[in-house]
Amino acid sequence: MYGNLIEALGNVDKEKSVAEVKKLVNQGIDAYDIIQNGIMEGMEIVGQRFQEGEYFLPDLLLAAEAVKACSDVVKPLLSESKSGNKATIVMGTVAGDVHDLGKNIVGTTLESGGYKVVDIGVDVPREKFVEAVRKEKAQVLGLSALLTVTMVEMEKVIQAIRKEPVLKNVKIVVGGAPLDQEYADKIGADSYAKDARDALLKIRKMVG
Amino acid sequence: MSQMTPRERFWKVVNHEEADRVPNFFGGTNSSIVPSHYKTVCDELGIVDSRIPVGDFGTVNLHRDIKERFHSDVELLLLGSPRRKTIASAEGDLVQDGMWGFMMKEVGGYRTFPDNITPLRQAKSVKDIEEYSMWPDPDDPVYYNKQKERALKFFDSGKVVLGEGSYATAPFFVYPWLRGVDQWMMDPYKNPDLYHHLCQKIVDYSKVIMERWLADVGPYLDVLCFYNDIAMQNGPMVSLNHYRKWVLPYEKQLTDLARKMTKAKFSTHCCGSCFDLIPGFIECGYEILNPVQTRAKNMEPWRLKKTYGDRITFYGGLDIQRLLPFGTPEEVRAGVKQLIKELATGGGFLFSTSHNIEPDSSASNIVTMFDAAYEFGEYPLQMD
Repeated sequence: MYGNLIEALGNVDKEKSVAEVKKLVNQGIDAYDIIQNGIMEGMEIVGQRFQEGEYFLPDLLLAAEAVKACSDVVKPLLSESKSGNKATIVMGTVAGDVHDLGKNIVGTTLESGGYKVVDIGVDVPREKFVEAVRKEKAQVLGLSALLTVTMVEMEKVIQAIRKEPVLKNVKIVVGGAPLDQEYADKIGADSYAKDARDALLKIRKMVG
Repeated sequence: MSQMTPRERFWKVVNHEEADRVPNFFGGTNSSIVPSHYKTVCDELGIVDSRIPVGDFGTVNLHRDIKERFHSDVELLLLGSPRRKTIASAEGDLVQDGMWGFMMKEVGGYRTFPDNITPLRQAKSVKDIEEYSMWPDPDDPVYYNKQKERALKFFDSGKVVLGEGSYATAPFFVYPWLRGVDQWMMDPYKNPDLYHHLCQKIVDYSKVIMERWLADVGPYLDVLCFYNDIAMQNGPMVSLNHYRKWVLPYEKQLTDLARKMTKAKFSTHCCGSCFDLIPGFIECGYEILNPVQTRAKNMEPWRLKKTYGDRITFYGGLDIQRLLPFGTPEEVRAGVKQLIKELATGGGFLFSTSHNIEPDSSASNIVTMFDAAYEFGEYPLQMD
């Protein structure tokens, strides 16, 4: 049922993907199922092809656009869907750093995975992370950094979150070029994601 | 082997022969110290630099005393640049480049180029590109003022003269800064007419300025620096096919023109994991690769040397992502020794850092690194 949509997204064909989503909607398929079994599976193929070196950043960006166009069709129908929304994720690039290309791809991927993503931008002071997580009642916080001098800021954000008793269950995921699992462990993050697909898989595992 | 001048040393090594020692290229392109850390390093070394020494890429054009202390072989000749403007905005204070009109934001002591404030972000057609009003003025004397005198002075010093053409030799810095890095990558597939038009526009202005500049300084240059930066930590941003189809034809217009005007070796700057793109760089006429980010995927020194060592010279390489900021002095010494061992055999290596030094590297580690490079850099290499 989802084969054409998965193939079109896997081939980064935006028009065809949107047309296939519309077809499924017209057939009365549940919006959540379309996301889960169609859009996400298509994105999974794109992610695999990226990791295998067949796709590069332009493909990933174009795929993110295609996914967004598909999501725009089904999102208005989600409230009627049987499963409804998943967790809320707040994400941003830490203070001192304005790099956001990777973060934006991660955000679109998570959104297309059914999560509510609140992107609070770049060069974000740690108080703003705390405030946004509290206000949005987020279950996950995603932190991004490109520079070695700014990745140390992540530890400070994590400490600021951990200081707040009401936020003790918030899962913190970190990512960015200079990071690795070892560093993520050292600064007390719950998870390290090496790319968008990895972020989605790890967040799914942590919060469903 | 008797002592060579820095220039003699460079030309031996870049022609893949061993010289008296491995050239030290710190203080050249993208191998400096960021401004927010420079003073601390100078203070700790007892060096006084009263200039406001910031170059075009937001890093410091090093004072001669500090280059001397670090045994540097190079002099950096920067193309002149028009005055920048500070503009207040909802995003905070922005700096507008005087050459192309793109906007920069100072964050954490580094100049950055957020996609959302790029001036041609909303352009949809060739017409929108044509209506842009901030193209460079190649007749502005600021680009060429006193360049010949400075080049001659550097040439006479016997040091290696690196010409940094700045934003006139970096068309694929300028494109993303005018339009956003995301659109730079998607435009070829979504809007090829706009892509080609903007690329050609940037290259045409760049050619006029570069040609006039090289007419003055070309005979004195040993290295001419180009830039593209199209790789990330884990791989290239674009495929080699994309590079060959969408990037190389424009970069090659510049290298072909420059080849007629100078005997200098051409260097390209590409951070990150660019291993797979190196064949394309060689086709484009680049003979030196900078900054050789050895912690990125597939960029291990042994792999680079084994695969491309006979065709390109590596400039940089000493890791600033882990080793220099977080290593012990013993680890730094060992890292320098290993790097030289793996890259410098038979020439083809210009020692420097894998990018500009950030504030997380201590002055003592920096000194340890350069002293080790001097100690282990003598040919024939004494390696166990």
